[in-house]
Amino acid sequence: MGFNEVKRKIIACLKSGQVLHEARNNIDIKNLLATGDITAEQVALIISRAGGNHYSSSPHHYDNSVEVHIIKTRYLNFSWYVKWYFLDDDSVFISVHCHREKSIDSSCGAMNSSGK
Amino acid sequence: MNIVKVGDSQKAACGECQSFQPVTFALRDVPFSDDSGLVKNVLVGVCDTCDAVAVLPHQSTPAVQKQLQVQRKALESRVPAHMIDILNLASTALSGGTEFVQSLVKYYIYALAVGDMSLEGFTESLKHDLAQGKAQKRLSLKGRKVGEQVETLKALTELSSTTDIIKGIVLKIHQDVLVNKDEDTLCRLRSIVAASA
Repeated sequence: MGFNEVKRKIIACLKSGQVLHEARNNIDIKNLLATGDITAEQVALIISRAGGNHYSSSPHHYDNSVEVHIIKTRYLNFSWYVKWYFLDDDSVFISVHCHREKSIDSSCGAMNSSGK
Repeated sequence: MNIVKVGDSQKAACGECQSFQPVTFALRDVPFSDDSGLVKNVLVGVCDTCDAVAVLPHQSTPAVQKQLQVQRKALESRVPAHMIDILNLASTALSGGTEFVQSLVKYYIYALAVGDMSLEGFTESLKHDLAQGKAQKRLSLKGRKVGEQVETLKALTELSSTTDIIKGIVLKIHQDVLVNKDEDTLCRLRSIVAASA
């Protein structure tokens, strides 16, 4: 699957709510989509603005037939790292996190209208 | 929105089995990855093979967010006005500004709760003249672990009031930063300022 197709499919998943989050016996507080600190619409927006040079993929460690997709991009002064894979019609997010460059603040307040 | 129900099943990656396994959705109490709390009775996908929680459906994120908001709720305390002045002076002495006040108090709460700083004389300090005065100013501290650490301090000091804990911390900051000016302590605090600036 090429980048444009991956992008189209993940945005469709985010808009339709076909979204799950990987949980290793706990809830990863660094997955900002799982914690509700960022909405699916905002993640879709970040991904929609990413180009092919921001994208990479590799086989999943558990199953070579499952491709893991990674986008590293900048949006609103934050560096974003988004990692997921597709399972049938669903997307399963492994990671959605960000950091502000030249700062240790990772609260992503700029994206969080409710604040922290 | 794709909605799953208790008893629905599908395949997902299981971190315990290190493989893709069938999972069945069920209600579980699931901890946060930093052990700061627990989301009770939340719908998750449980591995059919090892019973570990493998996946969180997006429909469960409002429950996760609600629990996080409870943990992030600010800890409020009212203290005499001169205590805020002490914190502002200490913060200015360490960082050149007052923006470090919250981080400074939170650092002391943490360091005292985990034993990195001694609680010797903490309770007795509340008898000091500087501990007295009408509580006229509000001090608000945000942080997921602050409430938990203050509860630890209450248990360690046998003080029941959050305000007394905060007052004791302000007086300790006063003693360390403005009176004793111990160079090791100041150096450590300046490093924390630099890291959080």
